[in-house]
Amino acid sequence: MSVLFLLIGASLLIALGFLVTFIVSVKKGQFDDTYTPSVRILLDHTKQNSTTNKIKEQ
Amino acid sequence: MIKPLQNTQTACFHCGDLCLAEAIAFQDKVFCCEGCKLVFELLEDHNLGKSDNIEKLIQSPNKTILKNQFSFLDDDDVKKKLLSFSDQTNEIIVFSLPQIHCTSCIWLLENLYRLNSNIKNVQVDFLKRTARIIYNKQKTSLRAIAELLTTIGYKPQIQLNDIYKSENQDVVIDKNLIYKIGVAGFCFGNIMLLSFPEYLSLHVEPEFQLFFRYINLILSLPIIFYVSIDYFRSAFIAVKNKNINIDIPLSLGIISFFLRSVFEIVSNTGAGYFDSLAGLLFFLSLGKYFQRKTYNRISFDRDYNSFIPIAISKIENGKEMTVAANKVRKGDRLIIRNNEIIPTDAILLKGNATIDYSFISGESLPIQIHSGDLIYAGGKQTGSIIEVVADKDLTTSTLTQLWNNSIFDKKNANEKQFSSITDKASKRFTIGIIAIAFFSLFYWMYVNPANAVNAFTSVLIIACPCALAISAPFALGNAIKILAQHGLYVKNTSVLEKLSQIDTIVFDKTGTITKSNESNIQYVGNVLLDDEINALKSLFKQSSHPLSIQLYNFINGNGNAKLKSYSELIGSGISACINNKNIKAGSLKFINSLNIPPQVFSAEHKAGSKIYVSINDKIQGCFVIQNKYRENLKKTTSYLSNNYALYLFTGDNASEERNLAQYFANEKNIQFQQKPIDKLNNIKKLQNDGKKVAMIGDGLNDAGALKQSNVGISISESVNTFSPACDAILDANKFDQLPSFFVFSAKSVQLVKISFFISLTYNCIGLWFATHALLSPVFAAVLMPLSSISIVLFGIIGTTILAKKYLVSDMHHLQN
Repeated sequence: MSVLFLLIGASLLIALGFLVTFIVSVKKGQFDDTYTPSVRILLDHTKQNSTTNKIKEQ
Repeated sequence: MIKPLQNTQTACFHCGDLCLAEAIAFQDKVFCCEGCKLVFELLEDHNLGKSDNIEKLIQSPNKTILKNQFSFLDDDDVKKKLLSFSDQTNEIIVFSLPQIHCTSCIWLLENLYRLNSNIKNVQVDFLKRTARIIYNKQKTSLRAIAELLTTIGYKPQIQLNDIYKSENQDVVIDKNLIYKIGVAGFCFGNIMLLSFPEYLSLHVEPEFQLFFRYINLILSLPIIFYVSIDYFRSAFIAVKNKNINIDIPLSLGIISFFLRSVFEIVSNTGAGYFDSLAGLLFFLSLGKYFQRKTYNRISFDRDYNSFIPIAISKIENGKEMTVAANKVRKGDRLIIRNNEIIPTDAILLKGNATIDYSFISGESLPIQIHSGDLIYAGGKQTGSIIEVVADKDLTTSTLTQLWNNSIFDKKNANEKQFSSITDKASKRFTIGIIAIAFFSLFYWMYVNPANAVNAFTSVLIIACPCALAISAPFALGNAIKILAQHGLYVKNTSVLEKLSQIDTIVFDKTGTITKSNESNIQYVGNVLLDDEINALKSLFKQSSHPLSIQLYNFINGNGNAKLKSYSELIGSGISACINNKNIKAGSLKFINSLNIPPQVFSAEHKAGSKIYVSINDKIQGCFVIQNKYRENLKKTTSYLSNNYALYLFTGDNASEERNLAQYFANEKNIQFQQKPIDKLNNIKKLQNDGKKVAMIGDGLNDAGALKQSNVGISISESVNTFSPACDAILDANKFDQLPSFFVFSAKSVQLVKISFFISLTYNCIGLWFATHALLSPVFAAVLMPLSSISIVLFGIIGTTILAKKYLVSDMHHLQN
């Protein structure tokens, strides 16, 4: 039965992981625009600018 | 999602949206924007994605850029305010592009790098109508990008006050609340899970029981020290100001929950109430989130800054240059072009000034200004270029002065005075609860001291007004969302509460009860021949006076007749020789220069602006231009007059008095020639008589009145356009639904009162158990979520039913 200590600890860690993922995704702005990405995926992109992702907003 | 309002009824061939006035014709098809046209061409060529047509756009621009239109974007001060990021090589700008309206727009804008290779990336936010552009600042400039956008039909909307920075602040607050909901949900779920053995009274080995309880204790720490901190702070401020608000009993409840639970666990006498505590804060945070309605493209707090142009042409040392408008100082010589706004009080030096003060005074017709006369800030020049010299700095102009009125200083004074329905209810509640808590404390001290602290904390726990605190956010939050779907965009839930208390409604005339972009035009007089009609149209085509433009649109014909010796006497009329006929149009004095006694037309007695027409100096007839009142105005005002006192304050003169009398029964309530400050003072007077006033207006001239009134409703033909600071924005098309909006808000607030009673009933049941020292964790764990969820459902379902009942396009439902 003492394996429960371990299991509950593990389950809490996993839940904590989800909480952190949630907070990070909100912080990064994943939920800021809930419409445009759904359109963007249907549009053709001839070339992606690779430098784009290197620039991060303050 | 809000669809932009449009007048023309042509649908775009590609996306099906209605086309704006600037529709693009291509291959006998009509498109709403360049993006749609291009995408159509791409599909047509079966050349998906490979077409180089996009590059042709800049070779054949469809919009011309005025010289120096964007030169202020080279100014470092202006740039610093606008840019959201800048380093050695790159800059990031977020442009507001109201023209974005379809998927083709997204496609075109996000392919902008093909037009200017120094643009690295464009990201469109469709709902906010913004584009975030990253570009290389060494190789291209902000100005070049703004000009490029203008060329392809997306003129950036740049405003003096930094909208994005203040908006970002809201986003941060909003995100903090989301984090709190996340943390509360996490703790709530896990504590619940670990409390299950206690609920079911399962036999658990003591070491597990202790383990579970201590984990619960640890999990409750973020709830106390992170999630509930706002409630403690608000309660503390209220106590300091000797106020009572809902957060005081909430904080007391939260603290008793926590301390008693900690005590039970440490002394090993029980499991504590951590599950109820976490659930409580989870529901409270959810309620807070629910009542916050954010509109993507509506701003309620615009001041004069968003109205004044960001840059202005100034003459210095004989050279014309563009400067930021806030740098204009007394004595500067400025150039004002057609449709430009004068940023500060100025004296006319050169040119024909015809100033449209409609935004400032509400007077709908432009005023003729003579050389040497003062032009007030906020006036819009219509016609040719004028040169003026600034008479005051921007900060001391008349326009700015209206904002320096004390009403705008105590920005939040109104809000502070207003105590929400929840706070009012909680006042009695809190006093009652504290009384009961102490009563049970003393009672048990006398009967059985062992139970005393137990009963005392139980009362505070069970009476924690969770259901009371969330009933208004959920019910009114849902009501706000419903109203937004029907065309009334309300700033926040307290506006809804104020709306339910209104007993007096004040209207503005121009643009509020009349349509701002349409008028009734009537021709009275002799019948004109076809070529004479066409000649008139050609004549009106020459003038940029607003009445000429309206008449040009009214008259049928192609307007291509050839004019000879056209002349315009500003403020009087226009004349020209067409097909050997001498045609004149304008005021009676202008037409009747030969002093021939005018024929009496039936139009003489009609209200409205009159434009007389003469052919070869013989008066033929006259055009009567009347304000067009909104549809169903009569119906709307008569419904409203049953329950409200109606007033009309207008900046216009009394020429329409007779027309207005049919809409407003009490003629004393119609007041003409009201300056902005008069409107404000008149509303103050009504309020001093104990009236709760709702002001319905548009434009800057109503700004003071909107602010002074208990509820300021700004009416807008299109939610994208300028609207002054207000509490709510009404879609002009939904004007006739105003009575139902008022009824719905009142009923929603009643619904909240009913749900207060329900939550009080829950509290009473709980209190009975608490005062008898019978409160068990399971009981608390069941009662708390049960009461909260039932209140949430009651609020949401209730307002939805009310919406079905009252918010229908058919006005007949209002008759009872």
